[in-house]
Amino acid sequence: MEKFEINNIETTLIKTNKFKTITFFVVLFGDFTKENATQRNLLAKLLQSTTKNYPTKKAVANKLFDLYDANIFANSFPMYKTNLTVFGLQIVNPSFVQDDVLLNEAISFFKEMIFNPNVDENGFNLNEFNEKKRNLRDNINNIYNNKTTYAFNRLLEIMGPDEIINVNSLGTLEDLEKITPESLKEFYDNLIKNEMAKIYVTGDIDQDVIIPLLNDLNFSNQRRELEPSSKETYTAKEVRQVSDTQNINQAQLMMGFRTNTNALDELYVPMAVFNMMFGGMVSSDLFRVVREENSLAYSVGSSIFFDNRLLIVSAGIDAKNYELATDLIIKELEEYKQGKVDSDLLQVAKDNLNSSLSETADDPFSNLTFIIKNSLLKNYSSEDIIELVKQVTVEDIVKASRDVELDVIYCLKGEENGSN
Amino acid sequence: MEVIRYNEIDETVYTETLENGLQVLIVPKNYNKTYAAFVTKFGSTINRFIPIGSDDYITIPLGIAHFLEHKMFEMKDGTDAGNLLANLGADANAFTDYGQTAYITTSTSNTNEVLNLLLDYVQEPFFNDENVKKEQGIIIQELMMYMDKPGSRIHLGLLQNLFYKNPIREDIVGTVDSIKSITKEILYTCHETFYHPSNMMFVVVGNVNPEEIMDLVRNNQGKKQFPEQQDVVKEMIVEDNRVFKKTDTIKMDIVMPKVAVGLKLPFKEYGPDNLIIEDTKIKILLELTFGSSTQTYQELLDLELINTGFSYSVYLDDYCGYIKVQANTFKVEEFKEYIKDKLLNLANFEIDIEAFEKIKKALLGSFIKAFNNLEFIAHGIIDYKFKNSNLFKTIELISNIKVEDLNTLKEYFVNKAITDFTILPKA
Repeated sequence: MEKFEINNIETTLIKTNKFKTITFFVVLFGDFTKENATQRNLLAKLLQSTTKNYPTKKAVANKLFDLYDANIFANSFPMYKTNLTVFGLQIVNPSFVQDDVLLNEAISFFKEMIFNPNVDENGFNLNEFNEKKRNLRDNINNIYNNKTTYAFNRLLEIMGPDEIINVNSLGTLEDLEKITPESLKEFYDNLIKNEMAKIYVTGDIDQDVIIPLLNDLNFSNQRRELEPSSKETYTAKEVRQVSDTQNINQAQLMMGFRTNTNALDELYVPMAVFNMMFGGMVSSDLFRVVREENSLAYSVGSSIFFDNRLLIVSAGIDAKNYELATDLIIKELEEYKQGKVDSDLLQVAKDNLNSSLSETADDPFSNLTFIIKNSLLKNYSSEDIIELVKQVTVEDIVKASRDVELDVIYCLKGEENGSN
Repeated sequence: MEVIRYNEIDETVYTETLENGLQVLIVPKNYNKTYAAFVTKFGSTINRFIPIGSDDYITIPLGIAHFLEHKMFEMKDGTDAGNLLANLGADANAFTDYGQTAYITTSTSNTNEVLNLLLDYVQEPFFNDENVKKEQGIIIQELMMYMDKPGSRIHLGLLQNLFYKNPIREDIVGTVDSIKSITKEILYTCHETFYHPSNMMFVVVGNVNPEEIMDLVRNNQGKKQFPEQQDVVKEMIVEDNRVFKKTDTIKMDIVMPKVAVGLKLPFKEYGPDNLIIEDTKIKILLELTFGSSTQTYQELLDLELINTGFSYSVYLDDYCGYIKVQANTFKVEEFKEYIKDKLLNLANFEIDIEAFEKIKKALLGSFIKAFNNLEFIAHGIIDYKFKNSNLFKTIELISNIKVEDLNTLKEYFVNKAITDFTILPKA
């Protein structure tokens, strides 16, 4: 990994010949709030759709075809109260297509997307603005169609209606209606002017080729304090149980647990290993007990969200098995808390976690995303975490499990099963 | 072992067909991981065949290829192959589609042990009444999961309109009744016939030494006994391009209607490479008709005929094929009419040569980029082989397609081949 500065912007290059592509990320770091979530999402959609010099989707599509199907995108996602806006460009390594101008042309177009949006004196182009607004409204409404996502969002809403976990990065209908082409242009200007920028590149390319390509990137690039992970502490309260009904075949069971562990804490790596053992892999306890031993579900598992200090268990079940499934899941966690840890399963979890960590380097997007997220935390490389995983003991796992407290059980049930 | 070098894409393939008929292909890559796929040509669309050692056709329950996939993981000693692979640090998975069942491992260490175990568990079935019964509960939950997914329902609904008897119109998972009718005896019969090495491929892509891996596979297979190699006799259904049903609608608990328009492609017998060429030609034509570079796409947005999820795709295999155009929309009838009109107009099109060349350039780029992905390489090798072509020759195949070659597609766009399927929100 090489680090250097281009125009005062911190730049990271992972030079490798293993990929057929060259990938560039320009990342802006800012604050993620209830007030700006919708604007951020709408802005990203507009920026990647058209530009001042390529004002139609047709013009943009033709340009990308000409660049051998280059991928160009803007997206926005939160880590707790920090927002990352990622501008990305991926092109075929020019050596495969013997094209001398591809790299320069692609970079010019990339800068066009970031710095030359499709705006006029009234802000963003009105047609484009309305189209993307309508599209985002539909996306928000369509969450209802995906029952797993719907149930997941409802769980977060019940767990912490006033917390940042209840702010969906997709945005809300209410906030969407408040945004105008002018206000969004203003938001964009502020973003470029005030957020902290960093550059990331991976592929078979050298520093001395990259620098002249990007040395006119112009961000004021203010250093700022960021909050990428929650420090709020949670004290166990009485478990709340909530359910809704819809006309569906399979019930979506979601169990929201709180922890006091984020990626900066001592228990970070043990917690990650615990999650693997509990419900993070096919040989996990939940998969074994809920699916294999009791045939209650096809899909069941747990996920850990360190930035918000949450652990979520989800399962697709028959609603009449609600009690049995939740009892089994709670009982599995209790076993850990009482110190009953299968040391063979611990080894399996460590090996599997390390295997997936080592795989992140095999994909340009996951590798850059991993490095960017960790740059906000302890700056671990995947090799660093792999070493820490190896050192996790049975005692660490017990400690991690004791930091997991059930908060809310939510179930989205079918109407005919609603009484069960 | 044959070693073939493809300079255009900078890859080398090591290949051999073993004595028992198993085709082995290895592509070394300087990645951390190794991806392996052990694949049989047994998918959901085979439901009538002559078992090895028999003279008579048998008919098998729907969903059996998928059921077999689930059950293969169970080992004789009561352990689970997925867990044994996890013990080696590997990730195990499997999937069943219309024409194949694939068993997959991803590993970053212990790769030799992982590959041996993959070869062993797929070739050593163990079924009994109890474990078959237990699996039924899990698979019925899997079926229920798909039943609640509008994307799965619209796909299945459209296929049920397009085809009248081809098993492609049935859910890969089967039905609640067919799942319950599966017995251990039928599973053994299917395994014996379709999991014969000569009906299978073993593909390894990633951080491996090809000579060493080829030795490993030879040794593994050399120790096992199989019945004599013979071609599987199966009854495949071929239909004309008239659709079974012109239109259909269901209701689900969703907020925005979802509509798909389908066009059934006529049956043709393709020579080597021709199925892939045909598939590519149709992809180009669809891109020129509905892609983001077209006026049509902008018009669909301006008229608010599409909201989210607009997509167009083609499916083509040796027995059938179809085009699917779908979207979420509030203007259901207008969308259907607009798309049908565009499809019927393709009976008589003129292509802009410049646009055509641009799309070829994009296809080329997207193909090269896909080689970043080991999964793409492994399944690309398999799918192209099954379709009597060679993944690594694709650059050449794409480059050779000429604009006038698309003219042969015109005859496909006829009214009797068109159908639609809609999911409306429940009031």
